[in-house]
Amino acid sequence: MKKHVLIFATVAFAAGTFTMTGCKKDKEPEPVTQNPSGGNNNGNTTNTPAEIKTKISLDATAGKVYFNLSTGEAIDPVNINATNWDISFAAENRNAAIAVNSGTEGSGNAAALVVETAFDDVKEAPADGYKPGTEALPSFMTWANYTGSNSEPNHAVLPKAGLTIVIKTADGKYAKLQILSLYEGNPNTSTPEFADLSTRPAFGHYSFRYAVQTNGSRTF
Amino acid sequence: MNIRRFIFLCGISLVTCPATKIAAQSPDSLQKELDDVVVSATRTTRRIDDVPVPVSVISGKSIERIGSLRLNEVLAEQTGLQVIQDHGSGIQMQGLSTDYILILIDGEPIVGRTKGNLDLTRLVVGNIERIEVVKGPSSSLFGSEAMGGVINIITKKGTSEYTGSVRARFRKFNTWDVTAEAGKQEKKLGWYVFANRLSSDGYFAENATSNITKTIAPFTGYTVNGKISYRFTSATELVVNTRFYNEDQKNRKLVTVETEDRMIREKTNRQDFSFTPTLHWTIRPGKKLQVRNHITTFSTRTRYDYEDGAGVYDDSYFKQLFNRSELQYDHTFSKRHLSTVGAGNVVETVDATRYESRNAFNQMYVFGQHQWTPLDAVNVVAGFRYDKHNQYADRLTPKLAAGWKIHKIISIQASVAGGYKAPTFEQLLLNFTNPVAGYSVFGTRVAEDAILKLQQEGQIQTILIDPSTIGEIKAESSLAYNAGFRLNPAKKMAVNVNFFRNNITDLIDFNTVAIKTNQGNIFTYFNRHKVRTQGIEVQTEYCLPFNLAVSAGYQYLDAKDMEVWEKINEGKVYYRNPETNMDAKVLPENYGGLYNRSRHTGNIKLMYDNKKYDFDISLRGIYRGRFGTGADVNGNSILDDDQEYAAGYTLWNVSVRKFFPHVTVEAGMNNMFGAPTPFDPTTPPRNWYVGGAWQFHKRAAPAVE
Repeated sequence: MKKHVLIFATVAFAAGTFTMTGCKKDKEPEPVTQNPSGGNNNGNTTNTPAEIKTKISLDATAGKVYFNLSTGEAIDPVNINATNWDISFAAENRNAAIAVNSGTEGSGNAAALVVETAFDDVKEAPADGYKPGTEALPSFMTWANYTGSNSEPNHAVLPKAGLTIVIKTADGKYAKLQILSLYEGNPNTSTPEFADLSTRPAFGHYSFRYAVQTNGSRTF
Repeated sequence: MNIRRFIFLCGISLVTCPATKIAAQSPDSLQKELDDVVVSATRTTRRIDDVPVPVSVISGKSIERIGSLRLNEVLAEQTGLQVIQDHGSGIQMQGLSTDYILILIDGEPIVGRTKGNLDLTRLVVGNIERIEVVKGPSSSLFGSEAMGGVINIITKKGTSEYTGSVRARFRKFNTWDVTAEAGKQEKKLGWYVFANRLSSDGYFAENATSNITKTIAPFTGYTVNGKISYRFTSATELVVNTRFYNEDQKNRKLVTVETEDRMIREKTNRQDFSFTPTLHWTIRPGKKLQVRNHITTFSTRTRYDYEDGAGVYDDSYFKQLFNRSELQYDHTFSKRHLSTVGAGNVVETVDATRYESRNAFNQMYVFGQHQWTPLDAVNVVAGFRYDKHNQYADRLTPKLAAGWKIHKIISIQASVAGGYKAPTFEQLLLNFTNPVAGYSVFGTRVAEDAILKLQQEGQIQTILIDPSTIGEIKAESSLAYNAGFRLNPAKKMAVNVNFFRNNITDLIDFNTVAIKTNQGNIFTYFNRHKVRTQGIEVQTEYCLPFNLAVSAGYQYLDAKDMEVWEKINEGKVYYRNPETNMDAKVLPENYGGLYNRSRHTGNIKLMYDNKKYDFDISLRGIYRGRFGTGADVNGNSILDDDQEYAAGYTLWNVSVRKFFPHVTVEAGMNNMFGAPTPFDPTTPPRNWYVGGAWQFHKRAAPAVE
């Protein structure tokens, strides 16, 4: 019972914070996706805050998808080059892979790093530690959990909480990205429909939030 | 023996119920006194209220009264003890799991642990005189494994009368328990024999996911225990204790072999054997020497055969041998000073399918302890143990405890003690792959090579932790504080309170290092940063009129991974809301701590003795509060969401006995209201039992003590 009260309090507090944040930054294009716990990022910088965008259900079921974070567009694999994509998403048979445009994966200079901080709390990209290709995310197990048969919902790949992928884009900008879901429609994973393998939305559809700092600074 | 029903002992016999007073004048008064002394807390025979550490006694009579068959059933009803299921039935004490609890029979360790757990179902209870439970570290006396506490099972021995009994109990699921025992103590020769056969058809748990594999497999077990003693002179006695246990289990499983479903038949055999001669020599009054050697073996063999006769699916074995030679000398300087010194040597070998070769450990140790009674009401115990092991660095483990009987109605006690637990064979050397589930567990010494080998075979999909960084694991160590008081506000009432805190560092836990192409995880062991368990235990007893006695126990437990706790307080731990897939910070108050620990546990017991019609009734309610199951619903692998808990439950058990001359009949029902226990398959829904016993005894001339 105590816990319910606490959850209620958390939600109420979060809602309050959210309202305040909303007031301060009325230029947020997608306030719906703003995480309540983010707070404000005043004082850190005189930079324009990076615009937060959300991509729902990027379909990787037919093969690897190459994505340009600056334009928010997927690039046809036949047209990819050193600069027109930043990050790729692949998925098959409960396995998932994310890579950046460099190393064994591409001819670009993109790089990535996983930080153990939630998306909204990543106020600044680390200065170094970035790795090419698949090296920052060698397995989906580094950024997601496979629930197996012991944990509900069974046999699901669910992103870990509090992890953010920080990316140096192919054109040298800093971006941060949070994987929301690998299932079609970014579904609620606590429902009976999701628990039931026969009604669970299709695997291999990436939903994610991201923000690119277009002015080239590391501050989001 | 009819008088036995008058002796009511509710755990610690702090309360002198009126019925007990009658008993005190009977020949059983000696028995009563025996129940009041403990040997496990100081390795010397002391009255329970002279021992300044938390200790309780479960008498053989209270075990008999509740119709228990195996040790897990007895311990499950005690305050501050939680039976948990993890590769068998284990015990949790002060928030420390079964790996840290040393289980002894007559002071000698039982070996044969699976994943650290000593399965309590291996131990039948018919030959138990009493069980002593010492909470908090006793590593200064017993070494590794006694970090959380010690459970010492004291077995029966022959009495001056030639006595014996034959008992049979029948339970649901075609469970049969048949016991015979007899013993006698002559002037020089004493002997006791015990034999038990326990079998069951097993059953499917209510929430079982399989209708092929029984949750509790059908089994047949035999236990034989023999004890023989001989007094060569009034000052020397040789005692030889031996025990043999054999159990066969069988089950069926459905497995998929190359996409084809196949039925397999599982047969498991486990055996343990021990042989323990002890020589007691009272050199002079107050100067006692004990020389003992304990050799014990444990072995299991599990074989899976295809039901269609296509041969063996899997065949594995495990053999462990443990030999301990020990010397102990007790020197009473005066009424106020008693010193104990000892030394020992342990040789341990393990040979198993899961290990690359036969492995041997060797250990030597010395220990010392001084008990000082500066005033009649004050006693101080200081001790240490020094261990030298061929696999780990030397260790010194100290302990200091003091107690003060301030007044007739109140006494206080406090202790501070170190504890340690060495890495086990498994943690160092295991090389195991589950043939059905496909996961692998490697000890830290073999992990790197094993993973590289799998990698060469193309069986590794992903490496998560570079195998070359898997280092040596250190022994776990703890510093523990216990402080408490005993109150006897009235003759018929007793209250016992103990506060405890265990600070554990370098806790060993397994973690995933790699994932195989079959999606199976590869685990190995790591020293985790820090764990803290703390809480309070309260035990009260009260004698009501009409031969009715009530007792209640409660434990509050707070068990945390301190690394996680610090990160939460720094605002660095998040959870994912499964409805929105967004992250938010975990609030400190939502951290549930370590898995499988209930914050609240307790029990209430009501005992009734009817002297007029010769029957007794005992009703017990055992509460276990909610606990983390290990499930993770919000992506942070810690316990912080309501759905990550199993619901709490209360088990109500009732037993009734009726006495006739030489004959006792009994009946009872466990889990009367069918509380669901999905994480404890050994506790079935409502189940009943009936039983009967025939006792015989021949009076003889009183034995010379």
